[in-house]
Amino acid sequence: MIQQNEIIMLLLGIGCLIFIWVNKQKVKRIPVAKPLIAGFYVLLAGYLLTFLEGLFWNDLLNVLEHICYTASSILMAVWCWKIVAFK
Amino acid sequence: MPLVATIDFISFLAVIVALIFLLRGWNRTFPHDIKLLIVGLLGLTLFHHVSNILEWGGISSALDPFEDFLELLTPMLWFMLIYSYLKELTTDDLRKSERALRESEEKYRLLIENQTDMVVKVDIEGKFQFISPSYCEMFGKVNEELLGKKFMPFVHEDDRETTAKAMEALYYPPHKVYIEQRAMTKDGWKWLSWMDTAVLDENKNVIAIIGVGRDITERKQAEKILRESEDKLARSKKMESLGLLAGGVAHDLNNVLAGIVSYPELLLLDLPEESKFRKPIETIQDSGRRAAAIVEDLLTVARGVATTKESLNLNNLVGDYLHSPEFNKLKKFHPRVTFKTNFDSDLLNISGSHVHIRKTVMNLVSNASEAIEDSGNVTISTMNRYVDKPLRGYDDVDIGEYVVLSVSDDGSGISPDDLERIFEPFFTKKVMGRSGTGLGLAVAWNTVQDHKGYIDVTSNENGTTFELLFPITRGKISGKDLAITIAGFKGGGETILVVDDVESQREISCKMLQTLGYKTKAVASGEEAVEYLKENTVDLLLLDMIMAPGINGRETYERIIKIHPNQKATIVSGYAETADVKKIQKLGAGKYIKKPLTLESLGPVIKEELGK
Repeated sequence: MIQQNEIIMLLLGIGCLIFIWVNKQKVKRIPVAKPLIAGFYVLLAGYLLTFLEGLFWNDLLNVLEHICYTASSILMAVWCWKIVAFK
Repeated sequence: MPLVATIDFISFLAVIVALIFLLRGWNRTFPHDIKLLIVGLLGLTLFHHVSNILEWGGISSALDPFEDFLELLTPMLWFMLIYSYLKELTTDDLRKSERALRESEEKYRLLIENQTDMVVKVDIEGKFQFISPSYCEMFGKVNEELLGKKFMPFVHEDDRETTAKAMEALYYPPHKVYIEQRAMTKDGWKWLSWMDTAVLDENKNVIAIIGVGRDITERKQAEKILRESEDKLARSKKMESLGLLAGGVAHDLNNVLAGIVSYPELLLLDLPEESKFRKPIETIQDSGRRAAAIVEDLLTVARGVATTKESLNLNNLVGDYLHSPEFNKLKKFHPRVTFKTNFDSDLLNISGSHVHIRKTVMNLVSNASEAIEDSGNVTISTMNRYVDKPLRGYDDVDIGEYVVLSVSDDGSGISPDDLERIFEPFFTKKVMGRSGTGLGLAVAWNTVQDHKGYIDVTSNENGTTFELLFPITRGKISGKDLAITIAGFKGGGETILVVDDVESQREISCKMLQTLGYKTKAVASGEEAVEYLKENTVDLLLLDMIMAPGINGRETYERIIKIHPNQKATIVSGYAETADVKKIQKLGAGKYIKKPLTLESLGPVIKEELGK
């Protein structure tokens, strides 16, 4: 069953995605931007899977959703590591 | 479900690791607000994972009521993080741009303020838009005084047209122009060079002009000095060539002229007053004297002439000339010219050559008369003047008292171009063949130079004035009677040895000496004279200075005084009073007589020498 906050999260995430796309050139200038942006994309994928698990294959999609969140956390950790090393 | 719990646990560890990295680089990584956002984001993620772990652990989470709300913050924090980062980048860019601009301005300021060259920017009307400190310093102004003002008033009047033309040239490719102009700076007029470049808009229209200027006054002065030196050198070379030419011909020409000048004199002494040959012989004598005068002019210009200076008064000298046949002839030739005099009755004396100054006066008066086309006045004046400042055309003058001889006319004047050349030998504007050899003013110039004097010429459409300045002397004028009579210089039968390589000259000298009452013996060379004097003695030698081939007069005399240490001698030459003449006089020889000889020149000198 789809929850209301999951839809809002997804919409907010898409809004953020649009902002990133509009400012794509500038975003590229963020130091070690790739893992950070990748972390966001994976997080957004997690939101999408959260939304979809309410519709079908809820067990499988739930696992994938958690994998996405974990991947996002790992990419965030990589970004923090790299940026410390970069600076 | 253990798999999901494991995944969440890995995620939990990843967030912990991320936090550790963040804390390690806390002070040197992100701006403060971004760090807080990252911490918040990681905190929310951590909260989410802890909540999941607790839930899978079968522990009914107390966090559940907050979870839905806090999860909503996650995408918002992502947005804020990205947004803040971009904002920070923009601010950083701006900061970098400002820093770059500041550095650029600093460089520019250092360049402009520390260079000696002047930099200005003017609009198309020539009004200042920018002025470098060096320009302000040069013109003794401050920036505010000049901004918006036109630069042209600073430019010398004579250079404004050139400057305006140069400004016009900037409107055409290559839109650059180099000009040199005089400008009124705080230190007076200075020569400045400007490299001007037009500033163009996108349509290639000139909107402003940037000029880089430099003080080139010293260079200009050096160029002027160099040019003057070159002119002087050229003039000097010209005079040297002329001197060589004159010197070369003078000796031989004077020997040739001796026959024409001296023989008539001897012939006239023997001719009765009523002889029909008297007039033609006098004409021959006069022609010879005029020819000798031209040679004399050449020698004067060549500055090798031997002149004996004596105290004289210019009033007397000019007065003599104004009563001379030459002046009467000139007056007849220019009947519509009125000659006026204005003599200073207290005029001081000068030490000079009567002959050369008289000739100079004659040349100036003659030129002044010819400058008057129809009727007019020629004024000859004399005055005393104390000179204490430089005269036109001279770098410096000796301060002191001078006698000024001024000859002015009210003719049509001399053009500025001609004015620069009038003293050059052979420069003449007169109709060829009518009069003049082109030596008149050259003689005047050299005569004045030889007397350590100065010449000042002023000329305009109302006439010309020549002012000749001669240094004064306190010496008294000799009271001797210039009208020499042969009787006063008759000898007493003394023996004179004539030494001259030219046969005709020997003959003339012997005849003249015999006329004067002396016994003569003649030899053709210095060697012969030495040989003769080994066996004989004479009262006086009449010794020619230049003899070829063989030894010259100086060497001859040196050898003779070894035989007769007190041998009296008088020197004769057709050329100049050279270093050799001075040397021989130091050895004991007497006065120097210039050829061609006349009874008037020869008689007194021989008499004086024998009387020593």
